[in-house]
Amino acid sequence: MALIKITDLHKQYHLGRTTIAALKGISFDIEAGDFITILGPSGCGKTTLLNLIGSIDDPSSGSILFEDQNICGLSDNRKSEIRLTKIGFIFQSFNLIPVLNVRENIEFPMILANAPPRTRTARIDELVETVGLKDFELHKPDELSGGQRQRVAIARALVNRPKLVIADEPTANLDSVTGTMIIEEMKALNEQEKVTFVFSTHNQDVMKYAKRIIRLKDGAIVS
Amino acid sequence: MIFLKIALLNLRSHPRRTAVIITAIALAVGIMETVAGMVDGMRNNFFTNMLEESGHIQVIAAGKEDSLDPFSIEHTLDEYTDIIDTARSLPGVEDASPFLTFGALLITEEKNIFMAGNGISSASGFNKSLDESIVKGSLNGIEDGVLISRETARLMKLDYGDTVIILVEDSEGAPYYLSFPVRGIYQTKSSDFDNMNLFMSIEQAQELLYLPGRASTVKLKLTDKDLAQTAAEHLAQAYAGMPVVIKTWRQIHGNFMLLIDLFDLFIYIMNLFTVIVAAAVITNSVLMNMFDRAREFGTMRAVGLKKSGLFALITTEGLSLGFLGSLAGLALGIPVVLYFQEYGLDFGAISESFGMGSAFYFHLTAKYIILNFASGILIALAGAAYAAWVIIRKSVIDTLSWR
Ligand SMILES: Nc1ncnc2c1ncn2[C@@H]1O[C@H](COP(=O)(O)OP(=O)(O)OP(=O)(O)O)[C@@H](O)[C@H]1O
Ligand SMILES: [Mg+2]
Repeated sequence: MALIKITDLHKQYHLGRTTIAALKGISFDIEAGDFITILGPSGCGKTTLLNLIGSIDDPSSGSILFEDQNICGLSDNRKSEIRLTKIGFIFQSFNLIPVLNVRENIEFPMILANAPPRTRTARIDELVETVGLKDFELHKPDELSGGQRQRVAIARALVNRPKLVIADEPTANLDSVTGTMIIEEMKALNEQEKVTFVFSTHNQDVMKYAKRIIRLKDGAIVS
Repeated sequence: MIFLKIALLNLRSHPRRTAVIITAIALAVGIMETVAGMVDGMRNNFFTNMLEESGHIQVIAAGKEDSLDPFSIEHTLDEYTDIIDTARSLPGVEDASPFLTFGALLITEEKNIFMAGNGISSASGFNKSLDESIVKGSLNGIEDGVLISRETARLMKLDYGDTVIILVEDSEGAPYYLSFPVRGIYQTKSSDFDNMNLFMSIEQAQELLYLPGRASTVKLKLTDKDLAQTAAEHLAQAYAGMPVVIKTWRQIHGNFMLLIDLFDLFIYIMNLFTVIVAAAVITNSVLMNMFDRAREFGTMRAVGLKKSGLFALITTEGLSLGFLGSLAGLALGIPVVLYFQEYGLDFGAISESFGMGSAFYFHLTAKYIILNFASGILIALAGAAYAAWVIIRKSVIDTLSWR
């Protein structure tokens, strides 16, 4: 059984009178443990697709079954719940909470999930070690390099042990060496923790890490 | 807890913005506290002055109040000593004293003026403020002379020891006069009062008016103004069927009581107004702050924060600002109120015309401290709740990509 089953997904944006069809009937499955790269030229609909899978945006039509549950059209609270417990997000521009330090940023989703303090401490210790930020755990985001910030974001995305991690161009704000390292780390986590990753990128080097590549063009899958 | 932590950290990381908002709230709360202290002080002054003068209960001869002339001696109390004895035996009665008021023409060789004559008892508990206001002679002077104010003395070119003629219409309607030595000169804070009143012993007044053994009013002073109702009922029972009217301070000052209630209303309206103005002033600042952080809020929503959670997060920040601003505001306002509570504020003629003397004293009240504190919090909360409402109505994706 597929972790996620996407069927005939459409998304239109309305700008005044004009309608932009960003996605035109996307269907594919994501298996548990996948490491999927979404590739395509600018404006082809990568961000739109990831937002829909991550349930932070609603499709115009079509369905997304997450473990057999259609997440489209759920109430805002139910979607928040799913994002909290089943989905992790990594953003292009890191999106950390500026006033919180590394540990606190990682901890935030765990607090929202009401995890007991001791469980939180243990999990954060583990993740800080995994992403190699032990020496920086009390630093604020603005005291970190781009690569370090993105590692914090990875740890935060993983903290509640989600089934799926979504990353929209996680390397776009990083130099290519750091970007490749980040992808390598994601790949390692994919293998160790069996977390499913779906991410978009422009970085051609990254393709060799992907288990599966989905190519988009003009809102449709080309291969 | 995490919300409070984030809120406080955010306040600290934007010190200028935080300072501006806290200052705005503090000013509003400080002003509200000062005005409340002033208005409450006015009310208090009114109250103490009025009750000091009128007593808590008055026993008046029936019919006196219906006569058009306030100085009429047509209706007086017979056997007032009996009323005083009865009154003194009641629980909570501190003092019961007779008064005989009348219209008097004060005559010297140069001029004459019309005044209110007050026949008072030298043992009366109502004499304290008069006693304190005497600048020449002493209160005992009422026994064999009169007490006039410094202003009257100046106008009439009189001095201590001089003689003055007092002309009245006696109880039989005939003009009658006696001459009295000036045995005391007083000066209160109210020149209106001073211009109008002269004092002598009630015995001399009785003789002058040919009203032996009579008084126009018996005033009672109680240990607690809330005892007035019961004491009045006792008296009414004791004097059932007699030609007397018994009034409590509430009845005596009916119109003033309404005015005093208006003071409260005034404070509430002023607070509401200040809250609205201050909230409008800071809402913009709070909104800018929140919109600057829209992406941060969008991120929190994306990682699973519910709308209600985001609302709580943003309003927690508002509450924190309100709390700090209110504290600062009270720190500004309370010392001002305490200062004027101690030393009084001199409004000269204005406060005098309100019957409060030439200076009046503020009053610090827990009730208004709490009210103003809450108002300060409301100011910040209103701004934050509005910002939160605007933000949570947006979808997660719109919040994330807010520009
Ligand atoms: N909020 C929006 N309103 C209107 N049109 C939008 C909006 N977001 C995206 N679009 C349009 O939808 C199409 C797909 O955009 P999307 O951002 O998904 O592309 P992308 O593949 O992520 O591009 P890039 O590589 O530049 O990030 C584009 O034509 C874009 O202009
Ligand atoms: Mg994109």
